[in-house]
Amino acid sequence: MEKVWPYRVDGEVGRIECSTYRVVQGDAVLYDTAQDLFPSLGCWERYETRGFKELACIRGVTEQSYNKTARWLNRLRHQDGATGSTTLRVGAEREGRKVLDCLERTTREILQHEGCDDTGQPLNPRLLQTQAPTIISAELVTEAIDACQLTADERAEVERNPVPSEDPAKTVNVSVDDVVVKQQKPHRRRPEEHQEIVEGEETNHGRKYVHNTVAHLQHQEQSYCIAEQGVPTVLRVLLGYLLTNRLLNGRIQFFVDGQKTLHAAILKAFAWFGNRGMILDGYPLEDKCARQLSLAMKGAELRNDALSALSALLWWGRADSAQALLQRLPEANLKKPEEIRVLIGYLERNRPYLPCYEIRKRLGLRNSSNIGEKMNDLLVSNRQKHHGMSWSAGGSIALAALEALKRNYDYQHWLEYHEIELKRVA
Amino acid sequence: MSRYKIHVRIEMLPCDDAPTNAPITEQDGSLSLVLSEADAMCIDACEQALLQTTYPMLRETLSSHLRELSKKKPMRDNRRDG
Repeated sequence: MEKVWPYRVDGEVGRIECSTYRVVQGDAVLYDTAQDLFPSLGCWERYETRGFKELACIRGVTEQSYNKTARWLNRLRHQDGATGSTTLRVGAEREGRKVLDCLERTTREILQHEGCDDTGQPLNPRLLQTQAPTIISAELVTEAIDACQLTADERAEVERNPVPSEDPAKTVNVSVDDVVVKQQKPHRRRPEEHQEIVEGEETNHGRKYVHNTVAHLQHQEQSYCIAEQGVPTVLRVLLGYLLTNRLLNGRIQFFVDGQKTLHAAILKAFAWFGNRGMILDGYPLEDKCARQLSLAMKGAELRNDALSALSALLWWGRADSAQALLQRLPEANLKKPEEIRVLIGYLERNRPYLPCYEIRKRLGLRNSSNIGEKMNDLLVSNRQKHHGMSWSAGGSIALAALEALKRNYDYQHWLEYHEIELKRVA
Repeated sequence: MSRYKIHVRIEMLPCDDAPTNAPITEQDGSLSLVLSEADAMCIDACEQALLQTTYPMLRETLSSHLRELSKKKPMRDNRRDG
């Protein structure tokens, strides 16, 4: 017997509907093609084909707004008004959620298989073996320092710098950073409701934000990016990636900004792994110095003089001299001396992560997390920021997950098998 | 399960019919669109007309194929126990 409701499909060729049938004996349904032959659907659901998902989720909504994508898609399929923007949004959020769930499942399986607990702490003694830092030969570092023509004091301080120079051939560079987008209000208020509230009580105009975390991994010519909600989740997936690609026999070098919680999360997650290092990116360091000096000093001219002297010292990784310089600043030039003390504390706290940037540059090592910043732009900011849009937490991370799937060239495999392999890409 | 062959043949033939704006379903289930002489000589118009005609045809073919599949006698393995 023919079923009342047609089976509905949204495909690359457009939207179609077809009749389905069932075999009934008494009250029992013996066979229902809408469930036994085709994938089972909910009441108003449509089956979305692989081609449709590639167009809509991978090439469409990650690039432009849901409205524009809906118009583009319908035009491409020569079927006006077929798929609406709300349907696209719901579909993309569902697909992004599935990607994140799969990533979580894959990571859990890898961690279990490799002998780690669910939080990423190793239970397998093989992983706990202490490993010497994989660093560049001392001769090469000495050669680079020799070429700098430093005075004896400067040279001694540069040589005292605690950050070792990693061997790039055996190092995975990891940039981790948070990115925030405006959060949508849970419910939209009608104009009259809004008016009542404005007249009746004080409104809280504090803007809320959705926090996502993006990581970019690079090992020689290969790279991978991860977008998740929260640093611990990103670090778990990162560990899964390192384990499955056998990259823990080298060094893991993190590039970070000055965010304390990020440092703490990395140190906690990789406390068991000795061959890791963390480097503070030069740009946020200089930015922090500039802001603190602006707060502390009287006038831009004095601030700029102090900043250029301080930046030069920090470029050489001379934290002792930088702190001494700050302590020597004449009180007459300061309007808020406590801000100088804050900056000295910041430098002290980050001292283990302040390398000699000049020597690293001469050795051809990476100095900044600008690839991580770029990934923030590509995975989140370009689509979700600066367009006056605000996002739900689920909607924001779903789009970022789809974009990461695209950047990692994982989408063909995902669309076909619904699996993510966490394998390296060129 | 029997096999299926996709057979496609799209033709552009001269005719004396009046030009149409949208594809028309013929009695045999095929779709046709008649172009004016000017449009038939314009590459852009020909491209759009071909896409306008073939996309609905693709949808119709897929829909009727799924409908026919659905009508077929169920396979033994797919039968429900109830």
